[in-house]
Amino acid sequence: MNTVRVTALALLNTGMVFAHHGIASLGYASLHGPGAPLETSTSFTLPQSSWLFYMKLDNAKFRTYTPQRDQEVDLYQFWFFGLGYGIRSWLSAYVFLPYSYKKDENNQFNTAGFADPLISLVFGFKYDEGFRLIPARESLDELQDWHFTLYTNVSVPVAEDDLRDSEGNIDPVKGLGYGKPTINLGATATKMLGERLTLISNLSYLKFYENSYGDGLRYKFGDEVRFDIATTYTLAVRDRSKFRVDSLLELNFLNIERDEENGKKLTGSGGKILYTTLGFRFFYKDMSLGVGVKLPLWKKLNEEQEQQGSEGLEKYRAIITLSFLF
Amino acid sequence: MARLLVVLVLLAGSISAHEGKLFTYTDGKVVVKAGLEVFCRKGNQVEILKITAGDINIRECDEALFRGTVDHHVVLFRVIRKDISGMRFKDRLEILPQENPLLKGIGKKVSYKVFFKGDPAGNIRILLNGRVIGSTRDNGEIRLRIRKGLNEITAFLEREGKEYISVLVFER
Repeated sequence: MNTVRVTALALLNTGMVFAHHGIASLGYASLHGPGAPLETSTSFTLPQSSWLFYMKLDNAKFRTYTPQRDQEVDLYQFWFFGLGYGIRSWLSAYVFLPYSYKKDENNQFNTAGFADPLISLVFGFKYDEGFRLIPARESLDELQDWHFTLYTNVSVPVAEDDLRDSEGNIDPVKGLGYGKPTINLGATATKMLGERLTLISNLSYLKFYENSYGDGLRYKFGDEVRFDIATTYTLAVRDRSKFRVDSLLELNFLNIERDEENGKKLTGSGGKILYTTLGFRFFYKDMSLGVGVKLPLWKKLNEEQEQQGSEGLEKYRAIITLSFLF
Repeated sequence: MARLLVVLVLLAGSISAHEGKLFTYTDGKVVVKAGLEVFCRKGNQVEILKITAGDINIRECDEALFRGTVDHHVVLFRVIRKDISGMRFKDRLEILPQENPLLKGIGKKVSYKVFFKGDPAGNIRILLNGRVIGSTRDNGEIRLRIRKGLNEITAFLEREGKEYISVLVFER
């Protein structure tokens, strides 16, 4: 069930800031025990010596405000391919390879390709008459204890960060990578209330560093704070066929700081957004499939009229995750 | 696996209050449907009874153990009435609480250890009141909450052509 989130990037375009990205939150869970949301990381590490294959698609469709087909952002797709390993029952490691596809309305400067890979570590512990490391095997009673994780992930800046448009201009927004590592620190807490309901919360901070581009531009994407609260409810379990289905409901708060260009904070960037995510997760044996939609409920964006294509201005984000434990 | 589950259900159920089962425990009274050796401990004194089948009153026992072989099942039932002792049977599967579950509150957790022939037994599936609740860790440990009423903990192991069953019972 468990627990890493990884973040891709914030984007900017000619005078308009498109700050948004996908995240990969691991949803490891089993037939019985706590559920796993789509966007909120859970507090469960991987079983020792087990591998997890993870895949996620975050398909963000944006609102457009002009009738003509112009440079407005139409669609972003973020794919995440991940491999996790349980080093210990309380320590998991992951590697993620994101892939992004960014499409404008007029298709003049679409980009696609692999983004900066991420390396993650998750440290898990629990409270059971005192704090202790997550043990190798837990009974269903123990799974109802408070569980916690601390995690970090760091990106390796190997993807192209300075893609140019047809006129040779560099647009940091269109870059596949960030040119510098990003560092994400987070913490989660999870509690089962009874045998069907699970509460999960997550707090994380994502740090970006300034990058210098080939045309002399220095650009720094705004740092981010995320706070998520999620519930999962088991609708049905079939032990004989090893099948389970959960309903998922999340509130996802995101605070984005202003981006900076050549050391100056930019207008039309940053803000606060509250999303809700609704979905279902299906389990079959050691496979898990999650589907859902993420919608902005409330937002307070800086100079919102300049932020078409940014987080908070989506029509919707469709999310699909698939994972195998082996 | 299906066979394992059938055996677990049969034997876990055997200790419940259903007529016709191998072993029934209700309010200090045991009904045994097969010949088992009975150890009744009071303080440091252990009374050993060899019985065939029938009713036995263990209300005076601090702890009672029933062992035997029924068909190809090597069984050990341990009933805690007052406290636990170090009585061990190292020729079979055992469940031993690491503290007295009668002294802890309902809803609190107790650690149990499962041993096979004296050694900690890991990855042993455990049932609580007839329902699978987890597996033991490599050191044989599992932690379970105390339920109000009957707490019936069952372990099963198939080894060397035999089926070893151990049940630990206490009431809160």
